[in-house]
Amino acid sequence: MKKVISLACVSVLSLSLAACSTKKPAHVPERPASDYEMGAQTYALPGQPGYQGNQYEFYKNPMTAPANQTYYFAYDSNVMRSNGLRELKIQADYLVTHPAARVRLEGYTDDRGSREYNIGLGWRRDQSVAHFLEQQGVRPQQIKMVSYGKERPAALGETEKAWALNRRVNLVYEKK
Amino acid sequence: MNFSYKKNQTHWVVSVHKLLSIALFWVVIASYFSINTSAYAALDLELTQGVDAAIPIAVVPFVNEQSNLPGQETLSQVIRRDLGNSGQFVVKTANNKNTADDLSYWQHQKVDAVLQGQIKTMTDGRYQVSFRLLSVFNQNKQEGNQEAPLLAQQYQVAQAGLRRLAHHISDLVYHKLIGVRGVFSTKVAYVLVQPHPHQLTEYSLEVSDIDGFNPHTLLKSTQPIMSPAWSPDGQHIAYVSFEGNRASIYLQELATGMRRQLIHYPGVNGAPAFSPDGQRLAVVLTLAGSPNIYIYHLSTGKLQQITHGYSIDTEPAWAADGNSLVFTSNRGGTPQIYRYSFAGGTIERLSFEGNYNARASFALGGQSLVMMHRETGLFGIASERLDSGQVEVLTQTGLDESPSVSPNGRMVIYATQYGGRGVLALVSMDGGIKLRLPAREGDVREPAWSPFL
Repeated sequence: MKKVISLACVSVLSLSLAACSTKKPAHVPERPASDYEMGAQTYALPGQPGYQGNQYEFYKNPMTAPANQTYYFAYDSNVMRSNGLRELKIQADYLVTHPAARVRLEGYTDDRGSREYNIGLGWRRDQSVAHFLEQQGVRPQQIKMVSYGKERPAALGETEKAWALNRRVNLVYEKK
Repeated sequence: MNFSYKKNQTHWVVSVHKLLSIALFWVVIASYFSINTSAYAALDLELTQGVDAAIPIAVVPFVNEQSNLPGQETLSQVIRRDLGNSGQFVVKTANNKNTADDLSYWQHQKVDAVLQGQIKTMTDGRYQVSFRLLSVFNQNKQEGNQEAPLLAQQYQVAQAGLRRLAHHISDLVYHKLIGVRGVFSTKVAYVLVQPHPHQLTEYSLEVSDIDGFNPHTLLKSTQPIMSPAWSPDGQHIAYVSFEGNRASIYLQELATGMRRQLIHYPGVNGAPAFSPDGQRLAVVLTLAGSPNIYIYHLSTGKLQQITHGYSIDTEPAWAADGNSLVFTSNRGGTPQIYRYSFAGGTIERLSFEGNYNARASFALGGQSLVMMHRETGLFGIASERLDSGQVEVLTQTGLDESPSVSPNGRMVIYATQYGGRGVLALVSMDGGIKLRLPAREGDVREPAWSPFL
């Protein structure tokens, strides 16, 4: 029953995100715990325009601002490439002229390698994008960085395409 | 439900071939259980390879035992499964009580020892369980059947405690015959990922018995969970959670489910590892810009940075004496294993084979490291002797990761892929014993073997 309720919450999330995430009770599984009490809350993840899970094409970044972006990287690299820089600069210009605006950079890797080490690689990619934004005049306090490493892949599979789709940084505008 | 081993009437020639047919037998049994007992086992343990020099042992049905353990098994069934799945025993049984009790019969069957027992229901509804382990090759035969047993114990236990008692008996038998402490009563924490079409992926942190039974959920989330780490007393688990679109390290008390958001600096908060005395937590933070190893003192909250510089330093694991820890670093170009010694604050490189070594921890009483290792482009799990530097690949499917060592230092549980799904698998430190532990649904990853509990 709770799963149906949470499904309903998720499906109308565009209208009432805050309501869903604050009113949801602790998620108790069906089986009573004999040894352990159940864990804590689940948190609804607001849908993020700009990227979806399991999308199998490279995201086409809008040239308007503010618009969430996905910026891609080469294998084992956190070097900024020219493809996508123009759109990223448009976001940088917006951030400079709107000092109250905030973005979150989410760094990712493909699925090869150790999970925690890949958190470090995703972090490096965040740093590269942040450095680029700051070079355009964005203030550091407008940028928050998190690395997911190989968690939350955009594409599944052991193929060059899937790997390329996963080596990315998402730029996500945050509500203040 | 009592499974008879009619095939075992004749002496087994122990070979990998025959052990594979045992494995097939267990796969069939395991799949039967998946249909009928899904409430009890979230993971199905399958032995895929056992040792050639397995010890033949008879575990006969306990007198008056019933199929009243969770999973509708009997006490002796759970013991047979434990010992068989250790890969170090060939387990036989007999249904006929006269046969079961006949030591000369078992001598003829060429087993080394016989485990027998009985269960009595007490007036308060609990059970009195007694067992004895008899050597088949005992010297003082002149008194007939009055050999001194290798082991004999008696317990009083409620029905809810029967399965745990079975594992405890398996531990005692294992210790007596192998000489090493058994791990049948230990647990494993792991992350379960269940994608749902058109919905958010569900992540769970779970703990189950090491045989896959008795799963409990500690946390459900729509954001990733990583790196579960047991406290040395088995009372707490630390883990990384991405709730709120950021990484934090939580500390959760198992008995109560209460938790606190322990470490949540800006940036990376990762790879928690308890010191052996339980007083400190090694963590990875990016406070200085790059991922470095920090020591967090649990009682004072004091933070101490122990690695510095631009490299990615991560995945700390403590030595048993608490005086050093090993970690992964790419300071030399690619990920390799280094050791930090607290005494002098010195760092030395430990891994030199293969261009990728990560997530190391100690095994075999500190004599060896176990790590994720890549050579010829394939990821696998390898051991490295610390005295000689000799590396042995234990498994290498290309998709092996996240090794965790058993508290007796002999077995490694790790994550891999099988049939397109994330599963857990076990391998012995000599590579001779292999088991697979797929989840009933979803993908399992990031196992953490509990301490002795």
